[in-house]
Amino acid sequence: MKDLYIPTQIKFLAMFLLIGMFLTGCSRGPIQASSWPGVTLADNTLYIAYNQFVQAIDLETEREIWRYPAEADRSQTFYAPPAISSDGLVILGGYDQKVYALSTVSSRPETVWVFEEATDRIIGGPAISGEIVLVPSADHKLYALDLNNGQPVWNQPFESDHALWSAPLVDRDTVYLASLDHTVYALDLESGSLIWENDLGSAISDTPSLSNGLLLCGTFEGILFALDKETGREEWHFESGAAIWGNPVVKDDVVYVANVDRDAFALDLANGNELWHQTLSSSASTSPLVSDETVYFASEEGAVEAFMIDGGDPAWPSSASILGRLLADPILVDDELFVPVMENSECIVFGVNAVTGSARCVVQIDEG
Amino acid sequence: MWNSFILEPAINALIFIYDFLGQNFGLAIIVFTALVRLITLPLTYQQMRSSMVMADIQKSDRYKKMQEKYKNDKQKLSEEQMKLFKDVGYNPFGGCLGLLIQFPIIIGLYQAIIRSLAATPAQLFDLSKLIYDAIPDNLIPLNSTFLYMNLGQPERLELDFLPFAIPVLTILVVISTYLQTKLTTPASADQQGAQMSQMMSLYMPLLLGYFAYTLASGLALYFVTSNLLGIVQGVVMRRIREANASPEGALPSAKKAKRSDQGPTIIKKR
Repeated sequence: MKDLYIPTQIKFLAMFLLIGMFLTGCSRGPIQASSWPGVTLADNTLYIAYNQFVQAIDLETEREIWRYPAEADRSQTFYAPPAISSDGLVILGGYDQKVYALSTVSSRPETVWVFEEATDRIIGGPAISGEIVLVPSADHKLYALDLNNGQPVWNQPFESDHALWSAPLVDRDTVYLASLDHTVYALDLESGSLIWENDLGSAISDTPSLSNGLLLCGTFEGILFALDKETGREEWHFESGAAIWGNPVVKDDVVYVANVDRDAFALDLANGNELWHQTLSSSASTSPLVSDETVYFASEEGAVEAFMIDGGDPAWPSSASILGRLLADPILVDDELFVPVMENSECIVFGVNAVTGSARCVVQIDEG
Repeated sequence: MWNSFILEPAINALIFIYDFLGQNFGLAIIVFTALVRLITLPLTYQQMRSSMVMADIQKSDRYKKMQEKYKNDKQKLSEEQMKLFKDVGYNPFGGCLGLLIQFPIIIGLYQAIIRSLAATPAQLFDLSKLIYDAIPDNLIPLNSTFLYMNLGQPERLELDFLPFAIPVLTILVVISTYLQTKLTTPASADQQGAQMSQMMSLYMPLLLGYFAYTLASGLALYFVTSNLLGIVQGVVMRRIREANASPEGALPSAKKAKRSDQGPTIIKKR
């Protein structure tokens, strides 16, 4: 059989094209996830935005109800935790800079509207208040959209000086927004106009927490600020010593927060005084979870640790161990923690028994 | 080891320059690329000189005759070539060392830019772990706006009177890569070598242009800066070479090759 002659120029061109496609990820098949899963719980359904799909998982049967899109599309990836309206409309923010509203009445989600005016990725989750959807974008803007048709509600979007990576927090008619520009903003829900702002000195990556009239924000400089929600004035601050990524959680007037230097703290909500302090197995970028007697911390290198809220003693004989990186906030449902995981080739969400600490895979990776 | 000795110092140096230049990441990329080019200049010079000497050897009568004489005996040809290199004092691996040392530095610079841009929360979290304690926490995330560009996104210039956006940086990358490849690759008398050089000068601009079109514009800015500095280096080297060129067909001597190290002095003589 005669050998097929391929001109050297063609060989070179093919080699360069292959290198280019390999380095830019322009090939078929699943792409590598560039961030952690965004997970939301509503009506016993877990909504998971991760990489090329958003999945809805029935927690009772632990089976997939639907996924969006039906077929993977390399131009679409999702990491922002979805928002679910009271009538079941699912709002998704994509890294393709679009916001999707999906009707999920049938098992096949249908697009109700798409908002395409953002000019950068949607990284933080949308928030819904009444008929308004608030969408933070990495293009520095917060968009307020009509829930029914996706049309802008405010005259113009609110614009900060840096990317918005966290979901806004809505309390009655006020929107609280944390920005990577170091500032916390309070905005009027109806108009988007600024009520107050406070520069906290370094970036804030997660949504603030609100309790007893205090807005709690952790910063990259490792300071936890408690601000008056009406005026934005600082009431107290606590220096944790390292960057705080996850938002603090409050229960019974105690604030729980962790930092990237493996510290977990319990603080007095009234004045920020430290009540107890524990050292975690690795860096924490997540928000803690609190049940009646126990506080749970998920840390980067795969450990979930439980401490008694009274005194901070370990609640389990040893921490729960999960293969992969735990960078996303876990969710507590009854006696089980649902822990999203990154860099695990088989599982996206683990279930950790809140009483014993035993772990199992709840949602497996299925590339469709 | 890679992180400790290459990546972390590169990222921290880049962020230090970013802070020093008024938190302008575009300027930081330009200055950092220029600094790295300056530090690796002796290596680049050695490598370019080596390839130019090789080009001169390939043009010599002795080399051409030996190619013709031993065209059917590859082993003998190789032996004769090594003998010729020895006679003129040329070390065929002389340029490789410079290239080998430069390679990790260039990869480190490339990775430092990509990592510093940290376009997603996971990437920013990873970046925060690579930053030295001396760098203030309030510097990250870096402000990636430069002129009209978001350095974390592919660049397109939109003009009101045009119905389409222009990928300005991509065009600059293609042109500057072509010019740099042309200027830094000496013409080879060897047919196979010449063909290879020609293809490199055609496909490299296309490959880098494709990267510039699809990846973060911070990288495209790095490509353009690096190429422009490479062009300047190439022009200077060309002038030095012209000043020291052997007559057509004559062999470059080891002495002459060494003397061309003192290039800038020769330019003064002119």
